[in-house]
Amino acid sequence: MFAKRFKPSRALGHLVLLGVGLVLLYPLIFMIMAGFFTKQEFTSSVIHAFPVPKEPTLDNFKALLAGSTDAAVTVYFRNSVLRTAYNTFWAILTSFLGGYVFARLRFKGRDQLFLLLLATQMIPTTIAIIPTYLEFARFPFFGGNHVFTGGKGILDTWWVYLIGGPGINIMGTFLVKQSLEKVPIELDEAAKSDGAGTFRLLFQILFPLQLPIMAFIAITTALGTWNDFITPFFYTNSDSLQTLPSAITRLSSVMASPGAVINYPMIITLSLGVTIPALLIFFFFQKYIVQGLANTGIKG
Amino acid sequence: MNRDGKTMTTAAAMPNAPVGRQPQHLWKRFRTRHRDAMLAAVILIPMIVFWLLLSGFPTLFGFLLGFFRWVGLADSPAFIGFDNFVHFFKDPVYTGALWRSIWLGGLVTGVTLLSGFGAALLMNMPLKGKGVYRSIWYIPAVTSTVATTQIFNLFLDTNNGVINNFLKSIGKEPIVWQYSVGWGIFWIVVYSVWKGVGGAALLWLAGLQSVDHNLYEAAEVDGAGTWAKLRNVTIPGLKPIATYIFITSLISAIQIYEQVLFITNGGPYGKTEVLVFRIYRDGFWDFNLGMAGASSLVMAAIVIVITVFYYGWATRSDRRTTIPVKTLGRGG
Amino acid sequence: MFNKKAAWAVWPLAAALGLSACSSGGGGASTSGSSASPESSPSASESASTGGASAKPEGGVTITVLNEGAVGIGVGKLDDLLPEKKKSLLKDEAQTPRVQESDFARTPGQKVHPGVFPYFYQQIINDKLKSKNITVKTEDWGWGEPLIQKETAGFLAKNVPDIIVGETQMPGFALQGLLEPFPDDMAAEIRETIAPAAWKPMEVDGKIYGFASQPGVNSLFWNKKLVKEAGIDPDQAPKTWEELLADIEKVTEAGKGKFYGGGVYAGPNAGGYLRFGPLLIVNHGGFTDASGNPAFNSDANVKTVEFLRKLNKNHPAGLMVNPTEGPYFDAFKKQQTAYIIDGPWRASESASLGIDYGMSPIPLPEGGEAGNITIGAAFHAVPKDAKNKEAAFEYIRAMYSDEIQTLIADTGVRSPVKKAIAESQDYQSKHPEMYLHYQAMNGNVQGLPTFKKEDSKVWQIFGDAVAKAIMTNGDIKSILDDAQAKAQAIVG
Repeated sequence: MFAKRFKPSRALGHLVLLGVGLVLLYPLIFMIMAGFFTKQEFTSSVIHAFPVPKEPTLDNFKALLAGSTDAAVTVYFRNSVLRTAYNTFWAILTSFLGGYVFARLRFKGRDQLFLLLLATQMIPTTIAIIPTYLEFARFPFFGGNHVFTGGKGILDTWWVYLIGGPGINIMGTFLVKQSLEKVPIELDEAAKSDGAGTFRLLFQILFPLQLPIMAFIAITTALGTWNDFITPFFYTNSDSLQTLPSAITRLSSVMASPGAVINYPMIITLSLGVTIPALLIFFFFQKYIVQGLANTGIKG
Repeated sequence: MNRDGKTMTTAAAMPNAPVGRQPQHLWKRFRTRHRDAMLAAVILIPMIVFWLLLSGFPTLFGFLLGFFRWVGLADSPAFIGFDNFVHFFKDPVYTGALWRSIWLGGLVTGVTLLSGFGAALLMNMPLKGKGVYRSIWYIPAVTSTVATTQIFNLFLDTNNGVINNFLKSIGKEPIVWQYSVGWGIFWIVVYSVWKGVGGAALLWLAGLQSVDHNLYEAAEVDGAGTWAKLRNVTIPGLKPIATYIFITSLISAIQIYEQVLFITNGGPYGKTEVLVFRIYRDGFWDFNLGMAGASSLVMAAIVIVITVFYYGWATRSDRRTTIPVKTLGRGG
Repeated sequence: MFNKKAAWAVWPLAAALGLSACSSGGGGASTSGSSASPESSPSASESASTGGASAKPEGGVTITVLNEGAVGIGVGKLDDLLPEKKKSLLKDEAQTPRVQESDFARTPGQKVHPGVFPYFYQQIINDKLKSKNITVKTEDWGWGEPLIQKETAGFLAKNVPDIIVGETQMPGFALQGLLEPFPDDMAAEIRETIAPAAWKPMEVDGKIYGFASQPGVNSLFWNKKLVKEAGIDPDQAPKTWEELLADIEKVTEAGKGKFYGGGVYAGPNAGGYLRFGPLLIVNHGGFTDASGNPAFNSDANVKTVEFLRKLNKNHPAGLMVNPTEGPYFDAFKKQQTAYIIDGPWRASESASLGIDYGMSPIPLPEGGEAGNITIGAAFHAVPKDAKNKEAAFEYIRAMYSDEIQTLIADTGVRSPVKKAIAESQDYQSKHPEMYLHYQAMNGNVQGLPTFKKEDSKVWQIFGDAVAKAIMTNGDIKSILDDAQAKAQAIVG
């Protein structure tokens, strides 16, 4: 009876996963199809659930690849990649070291400190945008500041991006801590009795064991940075410092000025341009993710 | 390594001390303890300093504003104690938004986690190409909120929207989504679930795969069916990870505002405003930084209470479940 | 011991970061500060001591100006941008008709390719300022909400460009004392030679704080094809509210659900207030009383909102008060509504979409008086904290120069605001429609008022009330009374 029921249940599994999956994908399919429209046709015709343009155009996709007339897409792309790589690198490093500290080292107030950090991670950040702007603008000795007043501080410089990287990644630390606690401490001791120092223990013995959870941390950080438009939009002005999402924000907001015809197909295509690299990042890492999360065996 | 007396007293005095290291002398033990703390300091202090610079200080500053009256750019902040908080709990705009944050967050969490669990059960079957399914389901989480809410709005356009065009083509009356609180909430939930279900499924899947396989075999020997195994092995085995998923999802769902901003913009008549949306509006539109700070503090208090409650509970059960394993390991 | 060293070794990058952060302070200053004052010394110590002070030009000054969509050509120094823009315009396949090399040769008085308009605009500005030894550098802070947020933060940190732009937020900035009033001679010249729509909304206590080179006011537009189908003479403009309503109802009837009469967008946002606001004004109502306090529930306003409710029946369900304005204009573009109240660009845009349109001043109610609200105006203003105010005012002088105003006249998408140019015989005969629009900019033209406290909250109360009055069958008077009470509680 079991054997008989097995196959239909698998078929059902395929059916549901694929069927619902396609529904989930639908907005993206719509975006891709809309990308083939010209501005005029998209504005003046009635758009159906599966919009097929009468006069399909590749202009939007060309603009995405070759750079549109007004936008230095290559620069935005480069900035997005650099920023994502930088933040991901630091997230991996800080999560791993932080996880090690809270999982292995023993010192007074450790649990309390960890709890405090964990709690701060959960609070809303909207309120911090204006204070952050003020802090950046008043950054001492930068941008013509005397001590706290005067110039632009670090606004509109690369420091806006660099300063964020080395900060502790608390959720990552939490996950590494959980994962490390499943590694028997004998491993550390064996390594030490073999003469390995902390440095070797950390990076040659413990780190390779944590690769799956590192993949998870890397991808969440990479995606978060890749999609973040607030930091570049708010704290920088120069075109040379913009990233893809912030450039799109500008583009769509300038196009919303009165009298301008909103170029939906163009905005949609640029959005796809942001999404596709993010998807590639995910495809690359996805098989590690489940493994990594399972390894943490989050107890709780 | 044979000064048993000293080792014993140490263990008695500090039950948490690493028994396995067996320090020989008092001073050495002292240094060992310091070494851990110093190493921790060397690693943590730079990271925490950078973290404070980027988010710690600005957030703290924002919170402090909750105790000031500061309305308008030209105004200068004036200390008013708890007045903003009193106003918060008197004004139905704020209490309403707070209450909505809580139940909307609960609704989003519930629907996301249930549908994610169903998907994870299916993904856990030995299906061909499940990696592809995983990816497809996770894709919405990868997309940017600004872009995809625009697409949702194209669908929901009352006049030319894809859905209303469809309704009209089958002879039904179009629906004015924007002037119905029910539909507004409905689409916020749909969008949030659309974006969150893949991530939830991944977490559940990780949980399912960490359940001890021996237990399934034992259950099969006992003649348990699929349903019985789910009820007696899977669900109890998932309990720890379930709490983690539930709490983290709830905390992020309580704080949703981008989908509210872009889909309903708080309307109709402010009936879909949530608290973080209110903070955003107070901060940027009305430049009422005092109320924005006060509201943030209330939100933070709620979230921190949930976190501390969860963590306290988690560490308790942690000790219950993992300590014996560690002891076992050390003994061997 | 080894362990400690090892852990330190993990942080070389962080340490390097920290160290260079201290030592390269001057470097940071020279890159970011250069935007405001290129001649300030690149060395660390000097720029630290002179950084905040306004630059004393030897070889001229550089001013930073925010971009505006209608005339923007990119971000950077105008000198560098102009040739690039020319290249990209020649390559741009989306321009209809395609831009030719010959489009870049211009004699004033001749028609200008609308796609090349921003290029000419910035070229004139650049030439005029260069002759005064001023270099212009543009920055893009977006438009609408993101722009307001950045400007807000900028004012707080006293980190603002020499010229900021904006629409509905600008009078509020002026009211809060964040802007520098125009010098007296300049203000006098503007009052005398320029139509009020360009500066009146930016006037506070008898001083002018901002200027828009090509603002608009609202007009009535209609789709001639749809109007004809309803048996109405498409060349006859409705003069009164009764006529307008009757025509609109006829179109709705003829449309049988395929198209509607339409009317005016009345959604709860600035886009709505700017368009139905003129209907309040022509009926002797409005948003505020003489002292600037909310006056939502006047009898005149109740009557106007009653009229709006009648118009709503001639729209697809919910469209008239849709939370965002885009779908309302889409309906007109897709020829689903016949009448619309909007700014002058509706004319050229309709033409480019192949819609045969009519355009006329806004119809009046019985006993009404012509009036309007400035719309689509990119007000340029000089912040109090600007570093080069003198040079910035030169920029604004260039905006109302004959050259720029003639260019706007020649392009024909909007009307110029300089009386001498717009009232010339030549302009009247070449652009009769835009001349009508210009005339409307000369009468009783206002901006949206800024409320004394929590401006956006008060507006939201009013917008929601109007939407409610339109969407429900509730008593209009009591809905507006309720809004008035709430608004007064906030403003005090």
